[in-house]
Amino acid sequence: MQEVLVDKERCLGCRSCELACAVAHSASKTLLGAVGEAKKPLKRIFVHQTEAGKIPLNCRHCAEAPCIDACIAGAMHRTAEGVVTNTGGPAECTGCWMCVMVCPYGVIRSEIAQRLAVKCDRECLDEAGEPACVRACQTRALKYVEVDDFSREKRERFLISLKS
Amino acid sequence: MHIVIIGNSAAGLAAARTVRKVAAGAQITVISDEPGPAYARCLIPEVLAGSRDLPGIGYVGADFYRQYGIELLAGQTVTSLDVEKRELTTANGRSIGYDRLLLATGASPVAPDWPGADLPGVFTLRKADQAAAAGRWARDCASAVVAGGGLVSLKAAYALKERGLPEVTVVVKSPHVLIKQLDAQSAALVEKELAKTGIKFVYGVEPVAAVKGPQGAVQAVELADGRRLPAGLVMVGKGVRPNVELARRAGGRVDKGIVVDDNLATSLPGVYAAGDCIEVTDMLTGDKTTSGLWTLAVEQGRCAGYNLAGLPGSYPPPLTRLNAAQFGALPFISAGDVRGGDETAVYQDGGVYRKVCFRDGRLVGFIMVGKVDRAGVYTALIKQARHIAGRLKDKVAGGTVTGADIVYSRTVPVR
Amino acid sequence: MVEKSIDQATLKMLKKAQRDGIETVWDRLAAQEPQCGFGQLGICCRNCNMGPCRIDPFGDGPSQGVCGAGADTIVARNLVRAIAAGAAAHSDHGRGIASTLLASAGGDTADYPVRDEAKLQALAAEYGIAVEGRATAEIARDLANAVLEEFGTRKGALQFINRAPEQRRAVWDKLGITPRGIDREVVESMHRTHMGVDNDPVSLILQGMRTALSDGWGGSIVATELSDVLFGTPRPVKGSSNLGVLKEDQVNIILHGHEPTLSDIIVHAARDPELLQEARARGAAGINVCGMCCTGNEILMRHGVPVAGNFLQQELAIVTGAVEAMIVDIQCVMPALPQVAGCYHTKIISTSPKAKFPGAEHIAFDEHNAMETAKKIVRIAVENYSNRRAEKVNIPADQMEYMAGFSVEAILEALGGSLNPLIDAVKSGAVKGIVGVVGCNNPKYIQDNSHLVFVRELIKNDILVVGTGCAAIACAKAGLLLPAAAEQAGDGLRGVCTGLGIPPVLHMGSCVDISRIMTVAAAMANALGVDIADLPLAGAAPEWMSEKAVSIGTYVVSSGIFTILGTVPPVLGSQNVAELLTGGAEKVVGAVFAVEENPAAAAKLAIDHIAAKRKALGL
Ligand SMILES: Cc1cc2nc3c(=O)[nH]c(=O)nc-3n(C[C@H](O)[C@H](O)[C@H](O)COP(=O)(O)OP(=O)(O)OC[C@H]3O[C@@H](n4cnc5c(N)ncnc54)[C@H](O)[C@@H]3O)c2cc1C
Ligand code: SF4
Repeated sequence: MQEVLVDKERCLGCRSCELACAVAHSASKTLLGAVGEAKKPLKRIFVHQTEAGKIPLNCRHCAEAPCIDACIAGAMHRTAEGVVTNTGGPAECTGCWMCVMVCPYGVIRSEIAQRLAVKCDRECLDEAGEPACVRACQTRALKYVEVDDFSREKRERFLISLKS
Repeated sequence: MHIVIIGNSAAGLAAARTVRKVAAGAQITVISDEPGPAYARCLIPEVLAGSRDLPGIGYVGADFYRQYGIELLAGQTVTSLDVEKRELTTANGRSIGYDRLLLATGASPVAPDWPGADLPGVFTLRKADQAAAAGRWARDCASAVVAGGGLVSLKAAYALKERGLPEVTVVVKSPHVLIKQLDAQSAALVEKELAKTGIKFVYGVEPVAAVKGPQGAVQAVELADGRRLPAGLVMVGKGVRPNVELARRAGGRVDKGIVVDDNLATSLPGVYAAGDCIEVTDMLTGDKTTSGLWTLAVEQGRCAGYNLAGLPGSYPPPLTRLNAAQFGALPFISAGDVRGGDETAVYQDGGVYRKVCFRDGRLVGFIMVGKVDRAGVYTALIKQARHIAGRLKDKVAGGTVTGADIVYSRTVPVR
Repeated sequence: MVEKSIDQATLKMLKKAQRDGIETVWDRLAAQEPQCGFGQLGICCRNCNMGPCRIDPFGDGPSQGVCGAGADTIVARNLVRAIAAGAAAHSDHGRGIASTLLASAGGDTADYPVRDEAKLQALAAEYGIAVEGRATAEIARDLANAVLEEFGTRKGALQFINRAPEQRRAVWDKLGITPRGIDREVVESMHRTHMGVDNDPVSLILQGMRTALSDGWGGSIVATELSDVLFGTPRPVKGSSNLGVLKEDQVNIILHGHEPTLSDIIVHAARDPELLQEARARGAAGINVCGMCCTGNEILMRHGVPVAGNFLQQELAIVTGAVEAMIVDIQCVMPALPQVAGCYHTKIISTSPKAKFPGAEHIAFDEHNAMETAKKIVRIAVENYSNRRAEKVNIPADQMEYMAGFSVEAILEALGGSLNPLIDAVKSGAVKGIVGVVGCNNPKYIQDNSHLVFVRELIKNDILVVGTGCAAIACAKAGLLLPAAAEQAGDGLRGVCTGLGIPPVLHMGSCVDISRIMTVAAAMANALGVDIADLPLAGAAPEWMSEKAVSIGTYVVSSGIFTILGTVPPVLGSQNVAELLTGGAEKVVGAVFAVEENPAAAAKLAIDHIAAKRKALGL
């Protein structure tokens, strides 16, 4: 499966990925259109400042995803492509926030009024199959790669998972 | 290999899925005394409220059992086990052999011991059919009393209000609702939100009897202080008890629940157990306790699945307090130990409340009300049991910690 | 490559650039994409070192900078700074011309005699400077001093605003935006946008308007009028345009930038017999001086010098491989030029002490040694002809004739000495109204496409177009500056144009010469006894990119003229500021901005606006 990996040395904290993500999830799909939309689009990637630098973080689509375990409605599931999402599955999200409670990356947002958990759903791929955040990254701090193709030593520079 | 699973819910299904994933050729049979395919048990309050019907809370797709090659024997109660013969018997006399067995029998509500507890109109809320029956009953009622201030009780009260009952009163023995999950301040916020719908609260007393009306059904609840509350419907939420009887009668070890080892094996040969029916060790306190959470049932089911398929895997002591819910416009999450701890940091601004509790420099619990984003980072910090100090601690206390902080914080876990 | 330009010469040279391995502005744009959304919306601020800060446009992150500035404040501050930069550019250009006039008057330079004495006298009269019986040099000195004084004046208001009708001046006075001094407004804008000074978006934008007015009715008008005095007031003149004007057998010199001070004298220097002889000795048939951008416009207006192209063609001119020297001064000169030139034999020669380019040769140019320096520069070009490599040369054949030179004076002459025939034509409806089409090219939009679609649509609807800058060059290249283009006009406009022998699109000069358009607008309003805002006029910058354009648009709107922007300005991060500019301003200055990227739709906006204004006037 392809994953969005982060080369944290390269992140400048410009938040372009955040904007691109929100725009990709807007009705108009354009920045200038999206800012005018009554329902503001929601980003699913978050650039954080840590002692180790600036780090963009979005769903890792974990192999044994705690959010899937926790979902009491059966909405959170893994698609055939390996994407963990709570839309388009066997059940509807009811906004119980179990997934928000267990996601160790803190990348599932709670849309309280809508009673909807919102997360990276990869519904943003362009014609080349690249996610909006990766495409938006000017410094190539975000890369969309087949994880198996990744040499070990290179992989170490990237954010892989909490457990490692 | 024939793997039989008793229980077609969180634990049972997670186990079945896992077995199928790692042992493609295994024969899998799932038996349940409930009819039909699995449903989302936690959503039965919506059935009570009338906002969804039973198919509306389905937990798996229509094609699930066929797709996973699982034989589902629904509506069949297992009455005994013969662990020597590796065979079980159902209420209709059918014997089913197995190579490995999983007990994922869940828990049942504690029934009230007061007089009138068996009157028509007195319900507990654990199964979909109970929810549906209570919902039907509620149509003709003007008032209801909910006994208990726990999560299931509050969900029931909220659902009865949604159903349109003019008068719903929650009787809570403790000084505030959700005594296990919240402190007084945060409980007050939840109570306020529930009160907006017209739900009333009575604290510090318990019902002592259900009073029979002229039609032979319940018409009121009598409280320990002598007060009588009119009640065309009574919902009793006094907690649950693990379903341990099958294991006990087969000679298995039972304490707070079915006793299992690290691999979720019971003391009976070839028999594993997972979910609400087992006893677990709380990772924070080291105490033996029941499991009681959907999340844990799924985790355990998956772990049991590996073991059933012959791939040993151990189940570490879980965090047994993990609750998330929303009433009205107010979400809240509570995890871990929210009363103990030697240091707390509290933030409150109107309807937003946050409390984080540390013990020995580790995060042991938190409450978030109103805003719950990134709660999972806190949960992860509790589970990691790492020492938290310096800037990380400031961020944890200030509510600004992010996943990135823990991914790149190099502090060595304490255990 | 169709999406890059509709200009065939551009497309051909882009192919050549690719073959030659040259990176152009389009490649660099592609490399910049996706561009920063915060910048596009105008919600990033670097005005202090607590920052940089940015506002989350989706209300999802910070709504204030470290100092507490919200989106409204930040967008307004950034806009005002852009206006200040644009106004500064025009005004500093104007100052340069005024200084040259002073030097000329003081006898410090023989190379810049006063070429239009009548205009000198008229301007002197406007400034209340005695002319009767005085020597030209004396009048010129007094005028130059009076104009230079306007930059830091303490007299309260600029002189040229008196050209505006009384009603307009009353609007400015009431709002407190009458420009007080050319430098002062820029300085005050920079001050107000400093961290922790003016934070109210309305107050900021009013100052932005005042600053812009100090450009339109100050710096720009100074540049135009004094250039006319020194270099001659343009009269209708013919020439040709586009890259095809470069000559395979001649020394090609391109003059690029903005000030006429340098370009005008180079035109003369290139006629020097000695240099021509030298060129011939090196095998060239002659010396071909061509213009580019607004420098091109200055010499095209006055001498009919061929113009090689507009903003997006500056690199492509070099790609022809046939340019011996590109001589640049200030503004709109891409820093990339030396790099492109590095792949050919072309020499980039910078001349302004204000504008240096790493990789270019710098030959300081000032009015005192103008002719000498000009000749030196031309000689470098001539000598460089020997380095030209035939195999690298490929000049596209595309070129188009134009008729330009429509200064206010030239228009009056064409009309027989008064504006009345034009006003009558407007009254009768033969000409429905007048739209000024100005501004740059922008690689985010198909080169020249917006200009041309917009202009063609207008003339078809009997709207007379007046143009300047790169917009006018786009029209030149498309043949719209020829009297014959009247055939593309509606019946009314065609009749007027054929009667007067003028094109339906009048080239009025460089970007500072938008002041000429303002002068005409003011004169029309005065003649009718109404405010400028009442006239059936509109302005448009279909492909704008520079900060100067922001200043221009703002002074045009502040002068009461509806203005359509074809590229989106970075203000959408604040709904309040965007609303103010496109809606609220109507009640304040009697005009608004509109933003419309689709040129046909933009034309409709202009046509409808003019119809509404006509109706209000009872026409
Ligand atoms: C109203 C409500 C709300 C809840 N909300 C939450 C929540 O928000 N979060 C959370 O984490 N948890 C919640 N829970 C708890 C959660 O539902 C349980 O923890 C979870 O269902 C446990 O799953 P399980 O598979 O262990 O057992 P169960 O879901 O109880 O399933 C056991 C199954 O086994 C069957 N069975 C038992 N004995 C036999 C037998 N002898 N023969 C055949 N079949 C048998 C039962 O009928 C049942 O179908 C809620 C529970 C209720 C009732
Ligand atoms: S002036 Fe305010 S908004 Fe701008 S950088 Fe400084 S703190 Fe940030």
